[in-house]
Amino acid sequence: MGKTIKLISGDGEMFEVEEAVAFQSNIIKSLADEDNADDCIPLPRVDSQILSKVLEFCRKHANSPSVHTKFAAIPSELCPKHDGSAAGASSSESSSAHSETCRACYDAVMKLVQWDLEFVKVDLDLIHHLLKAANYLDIEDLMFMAVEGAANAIRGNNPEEIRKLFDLENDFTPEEEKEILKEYSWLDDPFEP
Amino acid sequence: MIYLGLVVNKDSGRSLYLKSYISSSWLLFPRRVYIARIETKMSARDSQEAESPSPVCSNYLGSAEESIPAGVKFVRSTSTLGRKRVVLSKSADFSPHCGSSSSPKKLCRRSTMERSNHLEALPLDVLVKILCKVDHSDLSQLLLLSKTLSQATSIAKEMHFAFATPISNRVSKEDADGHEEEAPNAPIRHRVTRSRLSALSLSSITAVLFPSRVDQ
Repeated sequence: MGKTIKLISGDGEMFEVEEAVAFQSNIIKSLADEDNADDCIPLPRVDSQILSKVLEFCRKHANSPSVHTKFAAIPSELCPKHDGSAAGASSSESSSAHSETCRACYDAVMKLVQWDLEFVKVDLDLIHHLLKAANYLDIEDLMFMAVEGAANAIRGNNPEEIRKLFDLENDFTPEEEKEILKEYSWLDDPFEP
Repeated sequence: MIYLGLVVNKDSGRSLYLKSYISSSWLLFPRRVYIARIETKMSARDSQEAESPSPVCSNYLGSAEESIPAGVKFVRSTSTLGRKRVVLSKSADFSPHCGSSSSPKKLCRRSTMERSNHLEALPLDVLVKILCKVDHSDLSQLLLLSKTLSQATSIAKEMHFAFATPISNRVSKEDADGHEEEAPNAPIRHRVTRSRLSALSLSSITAVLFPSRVDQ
């Protein structure tokens, strides 16, 4: 409606966002529901740079929450084509039926997915921070995309590259390595040349 | 269903059981394991601040002899299913699931800003979520990278890859080795017999099951 939530990042910067944007985070939602008198929600573990990125994501997703995790249909009230003219038809069956047939909703979701994929084409440091923030704030869609971004870095790379990217140390002794190889030898595709 | 017994306090004789179940959401949530988290006095204060992600780090429940004060609270978190009994908090704390010497009463609130090793600083359930998105073929090499990764990979294997079909991307690969569409180790056919059925007569009852990538 017009109600805004004030969020304070770890380094003291204040962000004021609409409810629909902020409530994508389950944590913020539950904290706000607790009826804070001063209406300000402190988020000590998120600093302002990351929080602004997170809020950018949430703003984009404000109209279509849980697009990735629940494959939720865009409710017909929020459909970009109909734009609120679909009055009253807010039952779940009609909204899912709506989005199955509504081309505009489908396009909107596809555009959103494209935007999200671009959003996570960032360096690993930022993805790492986004992962932590999404975990802390419990934002399902952001978590989904940040995980996708991290997996993109792992997929298809050989071990040395992965080690370099993520700064991992090989803490296996040669005997342990041999054991693991034996145990999981079934994982190797026998038809792989 | 996996049940693990945890003896909290010898005096009270209470034992708490760990119950795991396969989440109904197939997408990304791994099996949620509800664990009893033993609250120390410090964490009781934290739980008043924020609901779920109270920053309690991994505690060893090794020594049951230590009398651990009061409450037991069920929170949502995942645990390792290995031999160590490690209680993990769901989110906020990003310290590694160290087998180190953190005593149960001590809260580690290590700042993770100095850490540069990304994957190992993440909580285990997030790491498993990431690995669930990796291809089947990458799994075997992930097992050998590091211990935390290996642990997370084996959990991901049990929870996701055991039930998922590998995505075949060999159609798009460069066929440098000449195997192409043939099966390797197939018997050599000296005399290829022609089929008596013609494609035209079958077209009404056939359907393409696996469209090639070119079409997509």
